[in-house]
Amino acid sequence: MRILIATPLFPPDIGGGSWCSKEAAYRLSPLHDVTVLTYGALPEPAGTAKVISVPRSFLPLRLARYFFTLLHLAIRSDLLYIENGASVEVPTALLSFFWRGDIILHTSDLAAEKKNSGISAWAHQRILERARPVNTPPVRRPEILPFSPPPTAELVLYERSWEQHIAFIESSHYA
Amino acid sequence: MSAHGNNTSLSSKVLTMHNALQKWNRYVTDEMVRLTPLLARIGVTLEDTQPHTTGERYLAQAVTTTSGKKLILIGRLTDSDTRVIVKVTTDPDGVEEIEKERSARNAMANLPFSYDAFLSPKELRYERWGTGVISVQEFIEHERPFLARPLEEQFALALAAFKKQEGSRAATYEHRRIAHKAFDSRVLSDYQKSLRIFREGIAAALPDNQALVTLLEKSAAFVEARSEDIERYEGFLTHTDFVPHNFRIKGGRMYLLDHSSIRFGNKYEGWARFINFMTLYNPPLAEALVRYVQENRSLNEQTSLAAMRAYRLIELLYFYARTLSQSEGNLLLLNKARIRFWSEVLASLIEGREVSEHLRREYTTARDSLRSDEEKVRQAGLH
Repeated sequence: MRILIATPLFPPDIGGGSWCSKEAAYRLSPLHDVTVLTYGALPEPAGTAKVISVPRSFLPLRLARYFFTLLHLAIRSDLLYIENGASVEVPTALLSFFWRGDIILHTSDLAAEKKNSGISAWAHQRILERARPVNTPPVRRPEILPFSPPPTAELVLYERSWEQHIAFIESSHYA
Repeated sequence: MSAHGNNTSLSSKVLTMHNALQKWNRYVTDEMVRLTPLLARIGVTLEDTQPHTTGERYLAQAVTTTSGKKLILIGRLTDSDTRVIVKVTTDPDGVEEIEKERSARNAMANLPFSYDAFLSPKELRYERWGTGVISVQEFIEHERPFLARPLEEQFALALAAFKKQEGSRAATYEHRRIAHKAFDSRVLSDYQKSLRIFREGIAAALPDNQALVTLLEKSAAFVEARSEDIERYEGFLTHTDFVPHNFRIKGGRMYLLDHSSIRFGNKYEGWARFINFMTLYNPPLAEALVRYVQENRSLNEQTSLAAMRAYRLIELLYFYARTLSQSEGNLLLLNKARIRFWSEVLASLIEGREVSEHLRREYTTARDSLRSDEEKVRQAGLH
């Protein structure tokens, strides 16, 4: 399956769904053809996924660049997995007029969701009408701290949540 | 070289050191004479003992290229007897530094992106004094020296502080413009340029030390090979001199004492300074922080940390190499011992091995025996 992950933030960025999109790319890439589209200059590698970034420049310019890159990549993809955020949702909402593929929406950035208004609110609504939402989000890997016992139970929960999330993603493409 | 030539060379070195020390002492005396009536006018009395003007402080002023000349004095508010810190300078670079520190403190409170600002000591008075400035700030008492706290607490406090700093990221186009107005920033090319300056400076100060020259070549190659990861983690707000004498913990909150060292740069520059410092002062804390990054952060981040540690160690060697011409007697022996110790730490880092505990103890014993009494007083309770 050809999966395109579109995210506003990706490591080294901190915040939002940056950690989630990297983990998803890392876990999916051994089994599928995975591309990540994000913003930035030097995103971290993620397994064997191809990571493409659009430079952070003047807002209209970067949105336009992101949209055209997204369109170019989406045409070659079976499934689009997006992390919420206006800088991805607006281009994706526009894409949805040209592309009829399957979309998954992961709302990991609750602060961004609350800020939606005007165009970003329209884009979010447009995507909700098209996308399959992630209802059971995966958990973040627990920290391993030098002076604390290893988080064994948390690590089990973490692995389980990701197995479920990957299964959810894989089942979202109606071939 | 003839005996006569040797004596001339030695006496010119002694003269240089005495000149630097005399210059500093004269500067302190002259400034205190001029300052005292002005401070009285704004309601501040200086304490009799001024530890931050003595010991090796003159050396830092003589060799540093990053900060201007300024005095850091301890005083009290006349009306309330509250202890205060007085930062004063008439040196243009010193004025720029104090004003930069003020701007940094104000800017941190107003950054648009997510940043949980550290507390800063309140500025109680700010006066222009001819071409100089005086800044009177709250004195934050040590509840307990950082290094006297349990190891787990030290680790938790340090990690929390680094995470707070990482919470900022001048990631967007708009943020970058705002960030550049408020703070200096460093990118890969700046680090590379500084590295060249450090290597040239060390080679000039120690031309006969082939082992050190070889180590520096290998270390520079080590850093250069990790350039991409240095660049990858740019754009983070970082306190580049984050060591215990630059912060205080009171009521569970951390107060930063030196805002002039805050800038946008590599995420791990502050970590590097702190971990290198703890390699000497508290090796288990250094090891715990390195282990934390290994177990919780990406390989790229681990690489960036290692590169920044090497960079900061080379910078430290550059600093001490430049003190040699200003030192003599025990201080000269001490600075040579520092160069030997920190060279070994650098070699251990790039070779991926531990610093020997024996070597660390040997160095601290030598340091403690060679330090002047005044410097010992200045250092007491600092960390």
